[in-house]
Amino acid sequence: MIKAFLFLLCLCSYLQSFSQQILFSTKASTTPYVYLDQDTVEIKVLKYYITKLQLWKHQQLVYTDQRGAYLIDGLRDTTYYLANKKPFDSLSFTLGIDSAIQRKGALGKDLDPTNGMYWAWQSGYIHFKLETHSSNNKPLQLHIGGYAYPFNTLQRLGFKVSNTKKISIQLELLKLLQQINSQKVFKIMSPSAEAVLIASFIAQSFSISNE
Amino acid sequence: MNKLGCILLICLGWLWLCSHQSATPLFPKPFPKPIYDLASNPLQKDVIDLGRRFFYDPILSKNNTISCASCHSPYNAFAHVDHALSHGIYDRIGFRNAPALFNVAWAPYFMQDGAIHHLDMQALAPISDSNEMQETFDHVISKINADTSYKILFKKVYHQPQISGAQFLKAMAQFLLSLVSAESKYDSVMRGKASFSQQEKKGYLLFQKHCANCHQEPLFTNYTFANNGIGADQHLHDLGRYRVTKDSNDLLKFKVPSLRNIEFTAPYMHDGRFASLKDVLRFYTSPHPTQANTDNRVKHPFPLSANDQVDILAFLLCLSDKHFIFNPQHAYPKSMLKN
Ligand code: HEC
Ligand code: HEC
Repeated sequence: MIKAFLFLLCLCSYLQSFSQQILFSTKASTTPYVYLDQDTVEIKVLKYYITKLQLWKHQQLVYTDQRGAYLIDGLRDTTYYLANKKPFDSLSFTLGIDSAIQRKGALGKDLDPTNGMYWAWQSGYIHFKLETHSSNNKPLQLHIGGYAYPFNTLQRLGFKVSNTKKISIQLELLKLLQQINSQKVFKIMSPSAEAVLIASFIAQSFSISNE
Repeated sequence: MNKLGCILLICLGWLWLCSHQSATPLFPKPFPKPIYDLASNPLQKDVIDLGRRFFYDPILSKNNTISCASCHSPYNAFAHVDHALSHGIYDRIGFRNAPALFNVAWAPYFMQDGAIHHLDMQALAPISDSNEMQETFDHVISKINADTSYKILFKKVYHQPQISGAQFLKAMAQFLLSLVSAESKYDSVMRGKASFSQQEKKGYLLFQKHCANCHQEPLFTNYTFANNGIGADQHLHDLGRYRVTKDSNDLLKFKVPSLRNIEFTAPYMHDGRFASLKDVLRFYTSPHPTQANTDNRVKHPFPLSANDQVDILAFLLCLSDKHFIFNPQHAYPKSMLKN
């Protein structure tokens, strides 16, 4: 009994020593609110998919995460652990669900269509969903998706990593809302040229903090 | 010992027969390899039956009144009888004519504009459409998971009392995959087990000449999108494939539909504008306005005499598959009556 316990303890610390912690969070004024142009914007829904997480060393691939997709709820901090054991200096991931996964048919867990991240009438996952409410600004209803030409909204992001124990990926909401506001786009419900533009704004709003 | 050997042999033979019984329906003889990846969702009798139950169950709609079968009736090859545009919840009129459902394992995409790229995902569309079933998918799954008779079924099939959305979709897809139609007179003729009448034969030759490059044998569609020249409906302004691709070349293009069981699936075309096959042939053979991208093969009226048209019609009736229409394994499951 004690032996088993000790073994588990050792195993845990062994895994801990090699695993990376990766934290996804959203930078808002005070979640779920953002102050924008003297207005308080309430974030009703903020969800997105991260896939194909990879770690690199000197531009050589050292690790590809085996879990298919992470559905991140941007309204709370989410931490995952990666089972990588090798040294690395940068990280990359895809924002959205690529065609290889899209063509697989019904999938479970984070990709289960009960999560509300799947378009019914034009099949495909919603990569990024943002819905807001506010008194002065028009409410936003942005369902960004599309994985095929000409409305491919997939984004591949890469960051240099200095603290390899704890990686913190942040979505800067104010920056994103300002960019969206400048375009006067309020509602997107299907793949389109506008969706492709907004997807590029979303990609620009992610950053890594290496504290 | 001899007796035992005999019994063993019979058992083995029976097993062999059974395994073949389950394998044949999906690979009828002249058909190509299915597009659907069956390895990702191996067909199982009990899962097909579960999917069939879902298909006939109005629990999938918001007010528990509309099932898939409300629009896709088995006695019309799973098309919507007598309605040009499908009727859904609260009697709202849908946007398009509900198509027949069979041989879906060979389809590379679904819907008349190809908006849906995988059979598994098809059920999501009607469930959440405001004119059809008006439900949210996660609510449907929680309604089903709360239902005691389903709980018993799920325990039997999946060894757990509740199922995920993905499991629901896969079961529904299995039932749809089981809808294989390949027992028409045409099929018997191709297998050398029957022969066409003189008139049917003439019709077949005309069909091969004028129609088969779109309505291609043996599935009677080549799964391309084409503008066959019927033009947009004044009220619906249905732009067809363009709705998906936003590419002006795709304006007014619709999926070439299969002509199998065409006798049972009136009215015709995406908006159900033609009530009879005679009307369809009249359209294809008389002068009509065309659009810039009307397919060259149908731009000019087909030079078919009244007699030719009757012959083609006679051939089209050879595509009716009564075994399919009256197959009890596709019908409303009697087990649902009990509860
Ligand atoms: C209110 C009527 C209605 C209901 C209810 C309905 N459908 Fe349909 N179905 C349609 C219409 C209309 C289309 C064609 C739409 C289009 O092409 O845009 C269609 C298309 C389909 C197709 C694609 C066929 C093809 O060859 O492309 C499948 C498969 C299908 N439905 C299955 C189902 C299932 C499963 C359900 C139940 C979950 C269901 N339908 C419920 C009206 C309905
Ligand atoms: C250029 C390709 C093409 C050719 C050639 C063609 N068709 Fe079609 N056909 C189509 C398309 C596309 C549709 C669906 C149009 C729509 O739904 O609006 C269709 C629809 C039909 C329908 C209605 C099917 C249904 O389920 O509603 C019938 C019947 C039909 N065609 C018969 C014929 C016959 C008979 C011929 C030969 C005389 C022929 N077609 C030649 C492309 C073609």
